[in-house]
Amino acid sequence: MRAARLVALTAVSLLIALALIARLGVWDALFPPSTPSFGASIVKPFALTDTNGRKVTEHDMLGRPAVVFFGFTYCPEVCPTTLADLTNWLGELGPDADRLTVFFVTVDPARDTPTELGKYLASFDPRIRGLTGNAADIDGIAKAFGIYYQRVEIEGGGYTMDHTASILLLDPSGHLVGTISYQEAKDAAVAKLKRLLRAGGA
Amino acid sequence: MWSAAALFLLNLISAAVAHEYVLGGLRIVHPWTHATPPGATTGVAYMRLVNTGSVPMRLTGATTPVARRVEIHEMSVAGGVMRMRRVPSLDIGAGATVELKPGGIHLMLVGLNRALQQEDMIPLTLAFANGATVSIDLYAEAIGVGPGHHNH
Repeated sequence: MRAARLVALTAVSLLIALALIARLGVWDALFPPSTPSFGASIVKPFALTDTNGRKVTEHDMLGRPAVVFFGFTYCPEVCPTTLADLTNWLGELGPDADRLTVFFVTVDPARDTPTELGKYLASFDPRIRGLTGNAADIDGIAKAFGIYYQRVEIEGGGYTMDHTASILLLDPSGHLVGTISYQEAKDAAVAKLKRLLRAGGA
Repeated sequence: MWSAAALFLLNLISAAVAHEYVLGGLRIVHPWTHATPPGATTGVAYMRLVNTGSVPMRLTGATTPVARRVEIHEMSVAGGVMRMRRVPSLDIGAGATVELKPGGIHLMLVGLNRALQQEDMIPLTLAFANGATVSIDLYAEAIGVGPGHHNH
């Protein structure tokens, strides 16, 4: 009798602990989403929509070196900062940057419609193309690229998104060849983009 | 004449670039924000809070006419992943300095009712647990540019 109660109690405690771990995101902290290793081919077939409502597929990402960043327009800091940095770096590269394919993929397609995304990106370098799509398509490309994203409810209403803040660098055949971290120094970032252009067989 | 004009201009500039407010023993140093892209619905506020007094202060909230509400958020980037969490309040211990800055704690302006333009001064009222409030102006830096990481 006593033993049975102890077992039940232990089971309940375990369940509570597991629920807490899930709730607090401890699991993700212990086992972060797996980022593909450098050299891995990560571009899988996809169909998304750009800010002009045009269909964009994996073919638009291949053939030229690509710079891909995932974010969302309700993002107060990381996304505008990264997009402003990218704008600055592309400006530094000048016309050379025309040979890069640059995508900003939303992780919040429910709110980031092509129109909203277009309005938002108007503040940044026009070579940055915004991509959105339905939830399943966004999930597909995020998974293929090893991008973690998670909707987080805000107490009192609304939600925000946790997401991978690194910029991914892809060679023309869709292999991951590098990343630029959040707030990486300008010189280092521009050097990486130049290397990416050279590797692109320019 | 010219020097007076120059001094006036200099004062204006320093007011915008390094302005400061005082609430009892608490100094609120250079509160600032980013200009926002059109269509953006969230903004941020950063500042340095220096408690020179002997009484701990607890920031419990803020209000601004440009947003529906203001929340205290803690941001972290770990393993390449950006995470943001709302926190109920922010303690500034006696003698302590708390920096609200990119990549860390910030105030999030939720539900902007207009785009924030570069060089705007955005009114914001901070509220503390002891009932005190202080009205400050956030200086709007360019999108993505903050004091300390100007892109050269």
